[in-house]
Formats: sequence, structure tokens, C-alpha cells
Amino acid sequence: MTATQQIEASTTAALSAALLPTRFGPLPFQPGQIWIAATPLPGFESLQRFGLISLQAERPFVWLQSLDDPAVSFLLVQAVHFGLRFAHLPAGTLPMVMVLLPGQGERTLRAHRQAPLLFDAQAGTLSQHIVEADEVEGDGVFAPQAKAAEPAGFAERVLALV
Amino acid sequence: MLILTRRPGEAIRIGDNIRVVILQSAPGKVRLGIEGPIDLRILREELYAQIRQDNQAAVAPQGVSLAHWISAPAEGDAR
Repeated sequence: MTATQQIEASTTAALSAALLPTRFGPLPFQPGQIWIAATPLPGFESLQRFGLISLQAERPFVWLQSLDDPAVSFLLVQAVHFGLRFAHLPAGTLPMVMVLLPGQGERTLRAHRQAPLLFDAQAGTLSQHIVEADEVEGDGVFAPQAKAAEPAGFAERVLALV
Repeated sequence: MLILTRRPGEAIRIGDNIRVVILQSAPGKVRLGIEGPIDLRILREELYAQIRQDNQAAVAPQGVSLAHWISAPAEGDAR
């Protein structure tokens, strides 16, 4: 690619990006970085569009940001980081769990273990997979160094910030 | 609210592709079988309410620092 083509490509990308409000201020999301809730999130039924934001210094955590309501964002991590396993997940989906931050007087990180969010990078959709307590296995101990993998096409749908 | 009376073995249909069968009834309890599309979310209402509450509790506050958890969480410190 020539320098001119590179400039044209970056200009096209910049023009196609939508500057949307987030917890970190307005950020440019490409169309492919906007995830659609295939089924409404319980408690947030009116929210349909979400973005995934990854800060290099905060990996393996990522932020799920509502693009319909900038006040709503969730801290997520791949379920494998809590040692959680779920039966009957749709093929090709990446299970992530909401992280519950410690409250006053608490010292532990907890995962929202009965309701992983499944990300389908091919379709650009997410859905919450709700299971009974006996349908999830794992100790729930947070392990930041756990080996995690991402399905093809997932990284391109994450807005990465340095 | 539509109210119907059914006996064990009888069923009701909701739309074209959802069928609810009364499998067993006993004082204070009824056992249902539900047939429907695989992508249809079917949950106990109390589980749905719990997930709804947990989702709302999981909204992240501003000014969260994750440094402690990323650098060196103590063994068994995060459950």
C-alpha cells in the first residue's frame, strides 16, 4: 500500500467511525465495533448497542459500554479467568462474565457466574446465557494469568486503547 | 390475564411453536413440560429476577482502579 493509499484508508476509517459517549469520554467506534444485544439484558431491556473497550494496562479486563446510555458500563473478563465452564454453549461464541467489584469491607472479586455474556464475533451480537446454579462448573477464583483464547474476528471488534 | 384449567397430560399452546404440558400436579406444586424453539429463553421467574438484580449491581462505578487485581492478587483472594 502506498502512502497515499494509507492516508485514504485511514481517512475513510476515520469518516466511518462514530464518535460515541463512553465512561472514558467520546470514543470513535467503527461500525464493526458496535455489538448488538440479540436478546435484551435483564434489567437493561432498552439498551441494544454496546461497545467493547480494552485498555492495555487493564488486560485481561475489558469494558462493555452501552452506546445507548453512557452511564452504563460493565467490567468483563473471559470466564476462563474465573475458572468457569458452561455446558451447551453455542459454537464459536466467547463466554465472558461480568465482574462484581468488592464492596466496602470486601476483599474479593466475584463473577456474575450464572449469567455469562456470549459474544458472537461473526454476527456481531451478544446475549446473556442464564443458567441454573448446577449448570456452571468451576471454583470462581480469579486468575489473571489463565490462558485465554479469542475466536477469529473478535479482536477486530474491540476498541483497543493504549 | 388469561386463566385456563388443565389436567395432567393436557396442554396449552402459545403461538404456533410453544407447547406447555401439565406433567404432574400435587397440592401446592405443578410440574410443567415446555416445548419451544431452542433460542427461546425460558427461566424460572425468581432466577430472572435474581439475574436482573445482579446485572444492575454489576454496573461499574466511575473511578475504578484495577491495578491491585491485575498485578498480584493473593491466592484465594478473589472468589
